[in-house]
Amino acid sequence: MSAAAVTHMSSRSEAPRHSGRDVALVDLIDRLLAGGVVLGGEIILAAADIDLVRVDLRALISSVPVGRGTR
Amino acid sequence: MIYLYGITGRMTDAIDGIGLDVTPLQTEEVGALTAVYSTHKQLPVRADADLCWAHEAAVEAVMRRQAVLPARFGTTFPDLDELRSALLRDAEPLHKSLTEIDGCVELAVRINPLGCADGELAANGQEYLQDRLSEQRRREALAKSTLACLQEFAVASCLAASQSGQQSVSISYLVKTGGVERFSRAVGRLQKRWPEFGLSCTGPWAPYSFVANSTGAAA
Repeated sequence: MSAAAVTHMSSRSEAPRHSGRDVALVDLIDRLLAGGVVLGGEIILAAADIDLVRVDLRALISSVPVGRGTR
Repeated sequence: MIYLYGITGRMTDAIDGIGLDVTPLQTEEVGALTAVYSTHKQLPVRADADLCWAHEAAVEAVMRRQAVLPARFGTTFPDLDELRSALLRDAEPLHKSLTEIDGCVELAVRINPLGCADGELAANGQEYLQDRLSEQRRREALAKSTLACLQEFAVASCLAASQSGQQSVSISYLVKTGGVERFSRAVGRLQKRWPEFGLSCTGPWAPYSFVANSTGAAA
Protein backbone atom coordinates (compact mmCIF):
# COMPACT_ATOMS: atom_id res chain seq x y z
CA MET A 1 0.00 0.00 0.00
CA SER A 2 1.44 3.32 -0.91
CA ALA A 3 0.93 6.55 0.93
CA ALA A 4 -2.50 6.33 2.36
CA ALA A 5 -4.53 7.58 5.25
CA VAL A 6 -4.31 4.18 6.83
CA THR A 7 -1.95 4.07 9.72
CA HIS A 8 -0.98 0.49 10.04
CA MET A 9 1.12 -0.93 12.82
CA SER A 10 1.17 -4.44 11.58
CA SER A 11 3.43 -5.99 14.13
CA ARG A 12 5.43 -5.02 17.11
CA SER A 13 8.70 -4.99 15.30
CA GLU A 14 7.38 -2.88 12.48
CA ALA A 15 5.47 -0.47 14.62
CA PRO A 16 6.79 3.04 14.76
CA ARG A 17 7.31 4.33 18.25
CA HIS A 18 4.90 7.19 18.13
CA SER A 19 1.45 7.75 19.38
CA GLY A 20 -0.13 6.13 16.36
CA ARG A 21 1.08 2.79 17.58
CA ASP A 22 -0.98 3.25 20.74
CA VAL A 23 -4.04 3.97 18.67
CA ALA A 24 -3.39 0.81 16.67
CA LEU A 25 -2.98 -1.16 19.89
CA VAL A 26 -6.36 0.03 21.10
CA ASP A 27 -7.90 -1.01 17.80
CA LEU A 28 -6.13 -4.36 17.96
CA ILE A 29 -7.24 -5.12 21.52
CA ASP A 30 -10.83 -4.22 20.69
CA ARG A 31 -10.71 -6.76 17.90
CA LEU A 32 -8.79 -9.49 19.68
CA LEU A 33 -11.06 -9.52 22.69
CA ALA A 34 -14.40 -9.17 20.95
CA GLY A 35 -13.76 -10.49 17.46
CA GLY A 36 -12.26 -13.54 15.86
CA VAL A 37 -13.60 -17.01 15.42
CA VAL A 38 -14.77 -18.78 18.55
CA LEU A 39 -14.15 -22.39 17.71
CA GLY A 40 -15.31 -24.14 20.80
CA GLY A 41 -11.99 -24.32 22.51
CA GLU A 42 -11.45 -22.80 25.88
CA ILE A 43 -10.78 -19.11 26.01
CA ILE A 44 -8.35 -18.45 28.79
CA LEU A 45 -7.53 -14.94 29.70
CA ALA A 46 -5.82 -13.83 32.83
CA ALA A 47 -6.95 -10.62 34.43
CA ALA A 48 -6.69 -8.15 31.62
CA ASP A 49 -3.62 -6.06 32.03
CA ILE A 50 -4.35 -3.36 29.52
CA ASP A 51 -3.30 -0.30 31.40
CA LEU A 52 -0.79 0.31 28.66
CA VAL A 53 -3.49 1.38 26.32
CA ARG A 54 -5.39 3.59 28.69
CA VAL A 55 -3.95 6.56 26.97
CA ASP A 56 -5.33 9.93 26.21
CA LEU A 57 -6.85 9.20 22.86
CA ARG A 58 -8.17 12.67 22.47
CA ALA A 59 -4.61 13.86 22.19
CA LEU A 60 -3.35 10.82 20.37
CA ILE A 61 -5.84 10.54 17.61
CA SER A 62 -5.50 14.11 16.57
CA SER A 63 -1.81 13.53 16.14
CA VAL A 64 -2.05 10.31 14.19
CA PRO A 65 -0.21 10.99 10.99
CA VAL A 66 -2.09 10.20 7.87
CA GLY A 67 0.08 9.21 5.04
CA ARG A 68 2.07 6.36 6.42
CA GLY A 69 1.16 3.12 4.76
CA THR A 70 3.20 0.08 5.56
CA ARG A 71 1.76 -2.59 3.42
CA MET B 1 -1.73 -27.02 25.40
CA ILE B 2 -2.61 -25.79 21.94
CA TYR B 3 -2.95 -22.09 21.33
CA LEU B 4 -4.93 -21.28 18.19
CA TYR B 5 -4.21 -18.23 16.00
CA GLY B 6 -6.45 -18.81 13.06
CA ILE B 7 -8.05 -21.06 10.49
CA THR B 8 -7.20 -20.99 6.83
CA GLY B 9 -7.55 -23.15 3.77
CA ARG B 10 -5.03 -25.69 2.54
CA MET B 11 -1.47 -24.43 2.70
CA THR B 12 0.95 -25.50 0.04
CA ASP B 13 4.11 -24.57 1.94
CA ALA B 14 5.11 -24.79 5.56
CA ILE B 15 4.54 -21.60 7.45
CA ASP B 16 7.49 -19.77 8.87
CA GLY B 17 6.68 -17.64 11.89
CA ILE B 18 6.54 -17.45 15.64
CA GLY B 19 3.68 -17.15 18.02
CA LEU B 20 3.16 -16.40 21.69
CA ASP B 21 6.12 -16.97 23.95
CA VAL B 22 8.38 -17.08 20.85
CA THR B 23 7.21 -20.55 19.91
CA PRO B 24 7.18 -21.69 16.28
CA LEU B 25 3.92 -21.74 14.39
CA GLN B 26 2.56 -25.17 13.49
CA THR B 27 -0.23 -26.25 11.22
CA GLU B 28 -2.78 -29.04 11.30
CA GLU B 29 -4.78 -29.89 8.20
CA VAL B 30 -8.29 -31.17 8.65
CA GLY B 31 -10.05 -31.70 5.35
CA ALA B 32 -9.71 -28.52 3.36
CA LEU B 33 -9.05 -26.43 6.47
CA THR B 34 -5.78 -25.73 8.21
CA ALA B 35 -5.41 -24.63 11.81
CA VAL B 36 -2.42 -22.46 12.68
CA TYR B 37 -1.34 -22.95 16.27
CA SER B 38 1.55 -23.24 18.69
CA THR B 39 2.17 -25.78 21.43
CA HIS B 40 2.90 -24.84 25.03
CA LYS B 41 3.48 -26.65 28.29
CA GLN B 42 1.89 -23.73 30.00
CA LEU B 43 0.94 -20.32 28.81
CA PRO B 44 -0.46 -17.54 30.95
CA VAL B 45 -2.54 -15.55 28.47
CA ARG B 46 -2.88 -11.95 29.42
CA ALA B 47 -4.31 -9.20 27.27
CA ASP B 48 -1.14 -7.18 27.40
CA ALA B 49 0.49 -5.38 24.53
CA ASP B 50 3.24 -7.91 23.86
CA LEU B 51 0.96 -10.94 23.67
CA CYS B 52 -1.63 -9.09 21.61
CA TRP B 53 1.00 -8.08 19.05
CA ALA B 54 2.43 -11.61 19.07
CA HIS B 55 -1.02 -13.04 18.31
CA GLU B 56 -1.49 -10.48 15.57
CA ALA B 57 1.93 -11.17 14.05
CA ALA B 58 1.09 -14.87 13.79
CA VAL B 59 -2.23 -14.11 12.14
CA GLU B 60 -0.53 -11.74 9.72
CA ALA B 61 2.03 -14.38 8.80
CA VAL B 62 -0.87 -16.37 7.39
CA MET B 63 -2.75 -13.36 6.07
CA ARG B 64 0.19 -12.39 3.88
CA ARG B 65 -0.25 -15.67 2.02
CA GLN B 66 -3.97 -16.37 1.97
CA ALA B 67 -7.32 -15.68 3.58
CA VAL B 68 -7.47 -16.43 7.29
CA LEU B 69 -10.13 -16.49 9.95
CA PRO B 70 -8.40 -15.05 13.01
CA ALA B 71 -9.20 -16.85 16.24
CA ARG B 72 -10.47 -15.08 19.32
CA PHE B 73 -7.52 -14.08 21.50
CA GLY B 74 -6.92 -16.69 24.19
CA THR B 75 -8.44 -19.67 22.36
CA THR B 76 -6.79 -22.87 23.58
CA PHE B 77 -7.33 -26.62 23.29
CA PRO B 78 -5.97 -29.30 25.59
CA ASP B 79 -4.59 -31.28 22.65
CA LEU B 80 -4.65 -31.67 18.86
CA ASP B 81 -7.52 -34.15 18.94
CA GLU B 82 -9.79 -31.54 20.49
CA LEU B 83 -8.75 -29.01 17.91
CA ARG B 84 -9.37 -31.46 15.07
CA SER B 85 -12.80 -32.28 16.46
CA ALA B 86 -13.73 -28.61 16.60
CA LEU B 87 -12.61 -28.09 13.02
CA LEU B 88 -14.55 -31.10 11.81
CA ARG B 89 -17.66 -30.01 13.66
CA ASP B 90 -17.62 -26.47 12.25
CA ALA B 91 -16.07 -27.19 8.86
CA GLU B 92 -19.02 -26.00 6.85
CA PRO B 93 -19.54 -22.56 8.44
CA LEU B 94 -15.79 -22.04 8.55
CA HIS B 95 -15.54 -22.71 4.81
CA LYS B 96 -18.38 -20.33 4.17
CA SER B 97 -16.77 -17.63 6.27
CA LEU B 98 -13.41 -18.09 4.57
CA THR B 99 -15.06 -17.63 1.21
CA GLU B 100 -16.84 -14.50 2.38
CA ILE B 101 -13.73 -12.73 3.60
CA ASP B 102 -11.40 -13.93 0.86
CA GLY B 103 -9.68 -10.96 -0.73
CA CYS B 104 -10.79 -8.59 2.01
CA VAL B 105 -9.17 -6.92 4.98
CA GLU B 106 -10.56 -5.08 7.96
CA LEU B 107 -10.00 -1.39 8.53
CA ALA B 108 -10.79 0.33 11.81
CA VAL B 109 -12.08 3.87 11.86
CA ARG B 110 -12.11 5.48 15.28
CA ILE B 111 -13.81 8.71 16.16
CA ASN B 112 -12.17 10.86 18.74
CA PRO B 113 -14.18 11.25 21.93
CA LEU B 114 -15.37 14.80 22.20
CA GLY B 115 -15.81 15.04 25.93
CA CYS B 116 -16.28 18.14 27.99
CA ALA B 117 -13.69 20.71 27.18
CA ASP B 118 -10.87 20.66 29.65
CA GLY B 119 -11.44 23.14 32.42
CA GLU B 120 -15.18 23.22 31.92
CA LEU B 121 -16.24 21.27 34.92
CA ALA B 122 -19.88 20.48 35.35
CA ALA B 123 -21.51 22.50 38.09
CA ASN B 124 -23.24 19.49 39.58
CA GLY B 125 -23.96 15.83 39.03
CA GLN B 126 -27.01 16.42 36.89
CA GLU B 127 -25.12 18.73 34.56
CA TYR B 128 -22.31 16.21 34.38
CA LEU B 129 -24.68 13.44 33.35
CA GLN B 130 -26.35 15.70 30.80
CA ASP B 131 -22.95 16.54 29.34
CA ARG B 132 -22.09 12.87 29.13
CA LEU B 133 -25.37 12.06 27.43
CA SER B 134 -25.00 14.92 25.00
CA GLU B 135 -21.46 13.84 24.21
CA GLN B 136 -22.57 10.27 23.62
CA ARG B 137 -25.33 11.39 21.27
CA ARG B 138 -22.93 13.53 19.28
CA ARG B 139 -20.54 10.64 18.97
CA GLU B 140 -23.28 8.30 17.85
CA ALA B 141 -24.54 10.81 15.30
CA LEU B 142 -21.06 11.22 13.93
CA ALA B 143 -20.61 7.47 13.85
CA LYS B 144 -23.76 7.10 11.78
CA SER B 145 -22.63 9.79 9.39
CA THR B 146 -19.24 8.16 9.08
CA LEU B 147 -20.81 4.81 8.51
CA ALA B 148 -22.97 6.21 5.73
CA CYS B 149 -20.12 8.06 4.02
CA LEU B 150 -17.67 5.18 4.02
CA GLN B 151 -20.09 2.37 3.40
CA GLU B 152 -19.87 2.70 -0.35
CA PHE B 153 -16.17 1.84 -0.18
CA ALA B 154 -16.68 -1.27 1.92
CA VAL B 155 -18.13 -4.73 1.57
CA ALA B 156 -19.56 -4.66 5.09
CA SER B 157 -19.31 -2.64 8.28
CA CYS B 158 -20.20 -2.81 11.93
CA LEU B 159 -19.88 -0.75 15.06
CA ALA B 160 -17.19 -2.16 17.31
CA ALA B 161 -17.67 -2.36 21.04
CA SER B 162 -14.75 -0.98 22.98
CA GLN B 163 -12.89 -3.63 24.96
CA SER B 164 -10.11 -1.32 25.95
CA GLY B 165 -12.00 1.11 28.10
CA GLN B 166 -11.89 3.87 25.54
CA GLN B 167 -14.84 6.17 25.08
CA SER B 168 -14.26 6.66 21.40
CA VAL B 169 -16.53 5.14 18.78
CA SER B 170 -14.94 2.58 16.52
CA ILE B 171 -16.35 1.26 13.28
CA SER B 172 -15.00 -1.79 11.49
CA TYR B 173 -15.06 -1.99 7.71
CA LEU B 174 -14.51 -5.02 5.54
CA VAL B 175 -12.74 -3.71 2.46
CA LYS B 176 -11.45 -5.40 -0.66
CA THR B 177 -7.68 -5.51 -0.53
CA GLY B 178 -7.45 -3.48 -3.70
CA GLY B 179 -9.74 -0.83 -2.27
CA VAL B 180 -7.76 0.05 0.84
CA GLU B 181 -6.15 3.15 -0.58
CA ARG B 182 -9.42 4.42 -1.97
CA PHE B 183 -11.02 3.88 1.41
CA SER B 184 -8.27 5.70 3.25
CA ARG B 185 -8.55 8.65 0.90
CA ALA B 186 -12.24 8.78 1.76
CA VAL B 187 -11.34 8.87 5.46
CA GLY B 188 -9.01 11.76 4.74
CA ARG B 189 -11.80 13.65 3.00
CA LEU B 190 -14.06 12.95 5.94
CA GLN B 191 -11.50 14.38 8.32
CA LYS B 192 -11.32 17.58 6.24
CA ARG B 193 -15.07 17.79 6.25
CA TRP B 194 -15.22 17.54 10.04
CA PRO B 195 -12.03 19.14 11.25
CA GLU B 196 -13.43 19.47 14.74
CA PHE B 197 -13.34 15.70 15.13
CA GLY B 198 -10.33 13.50 15.20
CA LEU B 199 -10.51 10.40 13.07
CA SER B 200 -8.01 7.60 12.95
CA CYS B 201 -7.91 4.73 10.53
CA THR B 202 -5.79 1.66 11.22
CA GLY B 203 -5.29 -1.52 9.32
CA PRO B 204 -5.29 -3.60 7.31
CA TRP B 205 -6.22 -6.11 9.99
CA ALA B 206 -7.38 -9.66 9.58
CA PRO B 207 -11.19 -9.58 9.54
CA TYR B 208 -11.67 -10.08 13.30
CA SER B 209 -14.97 -8.23 13.40
CA PHE B 210 -16.55 -10.16 10.55
CA VAL B 211 -15.91 -13.74 11.54
CA ALA B 212 -16.99 -13.85 15.17
CA ASN B 213 -20.17 -15.70 14.34
CA SER B 214 -18.62 -18.14 11.91
CA THR B 215 -19.38 -21.13 14.09
CA GLY B 216 -22.09 -22.30 16.37
CA ALA B 217 -19.81 -22.02 19.38
CA ALA B 218 -20.91 -19.59 22.04
CA ALA B 219 -18.78 -16.50 22.25
